[in-house]
Amino acid sequence: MNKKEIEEELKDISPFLANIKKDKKEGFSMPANYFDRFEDRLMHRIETESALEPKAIQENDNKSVWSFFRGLLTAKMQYAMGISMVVLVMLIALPLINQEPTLPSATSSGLLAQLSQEEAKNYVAEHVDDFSTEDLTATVEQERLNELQATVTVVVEEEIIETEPIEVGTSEQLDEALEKIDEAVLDDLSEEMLEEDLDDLF
Amino acid sequence: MLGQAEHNKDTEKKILLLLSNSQSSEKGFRMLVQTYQERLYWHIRQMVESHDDTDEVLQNTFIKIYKGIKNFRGEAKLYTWLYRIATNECLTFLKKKQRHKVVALDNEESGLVNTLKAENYFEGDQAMLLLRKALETLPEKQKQVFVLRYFDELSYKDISAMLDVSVGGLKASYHHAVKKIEAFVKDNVS
Repeated sequence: MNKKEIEEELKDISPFLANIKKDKKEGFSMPANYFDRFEDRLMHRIETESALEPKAIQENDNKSVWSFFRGLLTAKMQYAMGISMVVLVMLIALPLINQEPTLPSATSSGLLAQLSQEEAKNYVAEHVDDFSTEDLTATVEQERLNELQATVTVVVEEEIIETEPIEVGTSEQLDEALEKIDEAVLDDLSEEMLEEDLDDLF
Repeated sequence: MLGQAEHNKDTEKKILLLLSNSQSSEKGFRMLVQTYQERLYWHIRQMVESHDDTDEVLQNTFIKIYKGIKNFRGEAKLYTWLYRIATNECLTFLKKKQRHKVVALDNEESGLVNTLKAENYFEGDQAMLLLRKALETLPEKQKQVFVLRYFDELSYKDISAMLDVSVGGLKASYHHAVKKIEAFVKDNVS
């Protein structure tokens, strides 16, 4: 059936080629009894190669086991298992990835112990932004800390006095209040800010 | 013809049955070799020409079949699967050979005709010689399609299953291949 169809097809495409006598064996020859001996030669080669590749056989056996289990699962189940595995790996890996790297404490202590007090102070002064308030206060002596706190309080109180809202009722009172404010402070205020404040007042 | 087809189906079933049992798998494989060695030999021979190369590719093909027969699912016909492996082996061999080829194809003295004439086992007439030389000028895929259709006389449906190419694509490839071969033979015939 195929042969006739193919001949007709070839005649349609190329009558010239259809006239050439076709014989796939024509023109070729081979050693005598080639096919009689081929099977034994092939089996001998397979045996030799199998003997030389014990690992490959073991791998194939493992693959067979995997193929067996895979054969039990439908394509949808394999897909669902794949997604579940990815989610599981992400759940395990994310907290580990988010952890901040920390230096081994023994190493940090060892390195810090080698620094002199002056070197430590200089380091802290240069990298003050890297330390929390707790870290800084923990290293300062109590007496020095009290002194620092007193200074901070004074500054804060001064700021409170200077920024305390002024109660004004009339324009005379406003003028009087403005006179009390230091000129330097007034210079720092922009005209816009003053306009906004006055609008709020009236 | 129908009787032959039925016989082939029965043989195929018998081979697969023997192969499915580890006790009889070697017997099944030997039967497979005996049944298909000649058909596969001639298929490969059209692709690689020389007997020694064909012998090497045929052995490689059967070794692949031996190692992969457990994975044969029976969705395709056995011989379609075997042809597919043989065809792939031919392509692998030809690519490898191409890399080592020193022959300058432009040089008339070292063209395929001379190679074939030098081959001890070749004794073809001029028309077939030219047709085979023309085959060498085709792209590999077109050559494959031409050999499977012209020499092996396989249906487009079977070739499609072997090469994963649509029937329409195969018909177009075969048409182009025939036209190119015709032109080459006409130009070179004395």
